[in-house]
Amino acid sequence: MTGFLHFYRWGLEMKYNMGLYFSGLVFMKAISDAVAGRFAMDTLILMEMLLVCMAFASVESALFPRHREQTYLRRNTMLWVLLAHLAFPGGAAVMGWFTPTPWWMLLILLLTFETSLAAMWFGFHVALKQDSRQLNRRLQQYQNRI
Amino acid sequence: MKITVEHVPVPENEVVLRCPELDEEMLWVLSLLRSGLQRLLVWDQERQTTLLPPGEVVYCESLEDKTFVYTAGAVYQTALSLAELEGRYGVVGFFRCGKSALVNLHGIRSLRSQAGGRIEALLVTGEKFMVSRHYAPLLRERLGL
Repeated sequence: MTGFLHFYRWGLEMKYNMGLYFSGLVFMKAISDAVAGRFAMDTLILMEMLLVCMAFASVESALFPRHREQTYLRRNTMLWVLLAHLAFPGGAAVMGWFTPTPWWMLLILLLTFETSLAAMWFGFHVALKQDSRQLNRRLQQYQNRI
Repeated sequence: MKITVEHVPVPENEVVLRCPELDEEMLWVLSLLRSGLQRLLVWDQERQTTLLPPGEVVYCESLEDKTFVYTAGAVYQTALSLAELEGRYGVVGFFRCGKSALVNLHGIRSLRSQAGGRIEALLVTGEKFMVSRHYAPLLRERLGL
């Protein structure tokens, strides 16, 4: 039962990230399709995107475990960036998610992807550091109070 | 609140609280004094009992229905449960940081915010404790965040 509950909790957390990545991909696909004058999406492409997002989110949960101590943060971050490139731009190239699309649109999509990835990690890092500073300030105040 | 310390030759240390009525602040001071003075009965591996001042406790852990008390240099056992320890010494800084662990906030060297809303606590003993997502908001609340 405990094993099942762990698996269930992992599933819930993984699916949250999977949904986030999937909605980002669908949004990018909708924009690129609209630019190309298409307003309907291929179900097979959507399924492929969903499966890639699920695979990436699963690997991500192993790289950044929520319920265990984080080890090899730098190495895992580099792996995360590499896998993100393999999964999304790589998946798009291999499975033709964004074709036919003008080259400048592909460039915009790639730039958006890179910016999102950088912003995600940067924001995550900065927010955590600021939070830690605030926590330590309050802890010091608490310890000096009594 | 005005705090005055008088150095006078008295046979026993004395604390006198002066106030028009027992407001929340005074009640907190009272409970702090009572908890701080109330020593914790513990015993070591040789079953030698000690009355431990709560301030010396770094963290407590519950293992197989036994409660272990860790100070900077020793491990003891106590008859009290984690819930009882928290209830009795919460006011002097004891905080439940997990289902089977309780930490003295004065025994924490630093805190680090972690992914997923968890908080990592580095204790004065050099050990690390992970405050789970469930207990992290309670810790923030305790610290006034």
